[in-house]
Amino acid sequence: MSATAATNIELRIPRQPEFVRIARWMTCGLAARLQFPLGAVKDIELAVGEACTNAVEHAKGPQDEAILIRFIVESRRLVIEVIDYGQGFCEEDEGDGLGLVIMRSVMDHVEICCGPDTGACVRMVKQRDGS
Amino acid sequence: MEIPLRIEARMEGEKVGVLSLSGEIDIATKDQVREAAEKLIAGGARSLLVDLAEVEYMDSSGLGVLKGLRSQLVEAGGKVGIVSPQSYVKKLFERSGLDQVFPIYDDLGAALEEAGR
Repeated sequence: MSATAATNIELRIPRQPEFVRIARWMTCGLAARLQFPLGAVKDIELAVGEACTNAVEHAKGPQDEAILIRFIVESRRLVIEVIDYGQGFCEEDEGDGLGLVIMRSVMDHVEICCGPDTGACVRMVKQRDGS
Repeated sequence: MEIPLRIEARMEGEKVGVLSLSGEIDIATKDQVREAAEKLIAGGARSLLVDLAEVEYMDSSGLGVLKGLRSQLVEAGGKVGIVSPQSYVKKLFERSGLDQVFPIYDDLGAALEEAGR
């Protein structure tokens, strides 16, 4: 996948536990297609799984509301946004914080934006070394 | 949708429960792990050995269940040990700092030997 300009790919899943796996599988496929090394593919899968899990467990609102996973493929990095359209969650809502610790350990950059009207957005970046 | 986790639960002696897990431990399967462990505890297990040799994926959902079980058993004088995690899963324990909380064994024999002491 050549990417001189950014390419956006989006996936929407219901905010239910059994669909988090679907997001992970798609993430693996895309990361492999982008020729990330196997370890990085698994890291990105884990980060997306954690972000979606946070959305399922901590976002408030009906379960049938979607989680949007947006992959922004740039020439030198992959940006992933996991957005819930519930009432959002903030870092202090994230239980024992293990999910965030893990996301930050496997991605190059992680930030969380949240608000009562817009839901939460976890934005993560993985550099595409060697591309 | 198929849930890709298989669980074998058994007692080794009167006080040690062994959970052998195979597949993926995530938000969709974590409750199966907790329920299987709680059945062993209800059946008399004071300590648990969780064999992760066949677990290909685990995230904070699985770690959270293990932490909860550990709290429950340590309070009663027992413990939770981790057996044979694959390298990526073992790294997850290290990344989360939980390798300092759970004993991690290379094989079930060594874990059982220590649990029997």
